[in-house]
Amino acid sequence: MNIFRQTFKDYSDEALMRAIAQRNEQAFAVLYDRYSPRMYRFFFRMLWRDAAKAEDFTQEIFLKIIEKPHQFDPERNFRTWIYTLATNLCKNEYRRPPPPDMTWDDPDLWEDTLPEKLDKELFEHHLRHCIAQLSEAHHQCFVLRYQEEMSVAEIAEIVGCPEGTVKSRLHHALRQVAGQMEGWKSEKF
Amino acid sequence: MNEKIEQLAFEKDFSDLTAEERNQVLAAMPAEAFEQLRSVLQAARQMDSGVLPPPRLKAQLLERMSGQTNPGLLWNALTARIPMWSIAATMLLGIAAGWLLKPKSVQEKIVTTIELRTDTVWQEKTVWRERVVWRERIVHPEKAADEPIAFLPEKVDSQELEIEFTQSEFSSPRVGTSLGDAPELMRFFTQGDK
Repeated sequence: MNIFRQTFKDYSDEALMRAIAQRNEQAFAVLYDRYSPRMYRFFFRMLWRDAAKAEDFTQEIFLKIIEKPHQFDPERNFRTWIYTLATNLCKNEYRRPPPPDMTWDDPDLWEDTLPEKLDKELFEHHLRHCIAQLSEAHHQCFVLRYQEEMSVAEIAEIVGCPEGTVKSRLHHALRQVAGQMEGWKSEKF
Repeated sequence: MNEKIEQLAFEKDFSDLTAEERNQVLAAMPAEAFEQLRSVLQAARQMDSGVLPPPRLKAQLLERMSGQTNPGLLWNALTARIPMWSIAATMLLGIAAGWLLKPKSVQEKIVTTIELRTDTVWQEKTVWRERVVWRERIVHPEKAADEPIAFLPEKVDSQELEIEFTQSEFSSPRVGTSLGDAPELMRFFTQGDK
């Protein structure tokens, strides 16, 4: 009977952070399960699908939560706070030259692939290429809006600019990507 | 392409649009273009959606937190979460135990009473009766003694008191003094004056 006892899974993100600040391991485990897939996927998408870097960055961001939980303001929304940390971590990587793109000569792409699946693979491959060619600011807004499904207001808080700027960046990014994808057969995946 | 169209392409298929929304879309672009845009956005959303962090990452982080946040039994005891009902039950139990085990206190009541006591006073009265003891002693020395012989020293040296009495002394006629004749000698024989 759990009338008087509430499990950590029922806690909000901000309540979990308060518990983590008091060195509660169970609260950290719940928060990790809740946000580690999102963070890993975000870093994976932002850092050119580099799994090793995505793992390192995910570990780094949760280590910050462990070591300095008091840096989080409980009055603030945790979701936007952690994504702000994540985008700031990615900024340093964007100063380095990106890795070379996967070329059409990649044997993994052609080997034992059905035509339907090949179409999908090719479509996604080209889409990835188009998204990766966006500038850092446009890439950030595109990923946060259309892949992480965050609202314009949340994106504005994360990147630290007005909502109008975010809308403008999204419009520019989508127009560039859609223009480069024009001519590719549209399939309902 | 405006923001409204982009929002609709992100949220709905062309077939799910309302009539008004459909008119807005068709005013901006052909339906095929809307469908293409929607495909791009859907593919972007689903792309890499299945990637997950390796399980060892969670174990490493929990181990790091455990090593950093294990200040000891005392801290863990102090910060342990205790259900409210446990706290309430413990308090009630403590109050009940304290009430049952409380030592019986003796209340001293000061009562002022007036007690009548009877004292018996014994009065001793000595009635002295005059006591007179007549004693008559006849002394038969041939001559009067130099000192009265009624009192003898405590220690009597027998040699000092050795008195030789000759037969003639005892055979002589009795000559003595009667106490009746000499009342001053009475003090040697009576204790009535004490």
